[in-house]
Amino acid sequence: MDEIKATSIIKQTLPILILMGIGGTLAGLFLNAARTSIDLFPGLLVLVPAMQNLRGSISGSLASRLSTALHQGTVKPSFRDNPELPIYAITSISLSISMSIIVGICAWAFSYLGNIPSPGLPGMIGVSVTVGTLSGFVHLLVNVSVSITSFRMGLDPDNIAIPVLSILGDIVTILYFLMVVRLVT
Amino acid sequence: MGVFEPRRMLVRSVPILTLLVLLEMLGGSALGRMYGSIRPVFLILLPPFLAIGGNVGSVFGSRVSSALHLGLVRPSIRSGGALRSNLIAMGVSGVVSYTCLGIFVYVVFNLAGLGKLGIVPFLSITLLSGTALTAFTLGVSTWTCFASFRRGLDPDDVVVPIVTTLSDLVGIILLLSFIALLGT
Repeated sequence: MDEIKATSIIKQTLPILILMGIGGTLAGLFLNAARTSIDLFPGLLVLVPAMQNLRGSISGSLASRLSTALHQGTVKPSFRDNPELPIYAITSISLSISMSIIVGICAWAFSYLGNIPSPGLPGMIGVSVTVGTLSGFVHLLVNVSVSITSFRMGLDPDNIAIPVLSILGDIVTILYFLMVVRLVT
Repeated sequence: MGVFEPRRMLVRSVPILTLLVLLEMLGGSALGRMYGSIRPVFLILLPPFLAIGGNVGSVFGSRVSSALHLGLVRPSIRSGGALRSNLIAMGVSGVVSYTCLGIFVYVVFNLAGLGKLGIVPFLSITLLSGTALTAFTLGVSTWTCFASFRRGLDPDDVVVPIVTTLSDLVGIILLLSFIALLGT
């Protein structure tokens, strides 16, 4: 019995994990394209895992809240005349911005203490906040549209929105990182 | 009041997220310090490598957490049944995903003409550190699920952030260690 159940779990999870590997490799190629800037300031790498994890944590918790609210009927599944959506947007963006400032300060401090060349405190905060805010907006648009659309189609947003967001989050965060870092250095 | 309360969300989330950021920074710093001595291919491998590890742990965590709520699993390692088949399934999924990832990154690296790369050392590093990370992330996930459930906390709120953060930190350390050990 156990073996049969394990196979059905594998069938459900393996495709998403492999897709995640493919999406993540695209993110990796963008990260590799930022080498000239990282060569100059390896401290920028201190930012990367934290920025990605933060994107995932904020997106994941907000997306599951939205999905719960849709299931409970406290948020209407519509794009127009929906008073909860602007509040959701404000929550999401203010959380992204405040955490990005903290990430920038911490990354600068860790680079300074670890003797890793960095673009300085304003540089680290600048990169972190720009990347965090831009990817926060993309996440918000995708999250709201995927959640509401999948709910309307009778699918569970928990099973769709969260994997889609985490694959997209990695790609978008590092793509913005590449663009911002090229502008700065 | 509305469904989403921005101020309450900020007050509740910022302290926890800051703690997680600090843990992430330890991994980031290790990466920044070792940067000069690792080959470009590992910069490409890093994001998907960490994404798979974190996901194996969080998918497993949310499955076990639902099973705990439903009473299908007791918060004990000897629980057997559903816990064992989930562990086997996610372990297999993790190792198979890392095998596919290693081959995929190797092919992409060569197609993009980014340099010469020995397939044997590269695949060994990816598979060994990936398998070790899968084992670690499943262990941490089981432990956090049981510990939070026993304390009356909802594992859904606790497990995913803890597991993804620790899995990133340990994933970076494992990858850097196997690179140093097998020298690519």
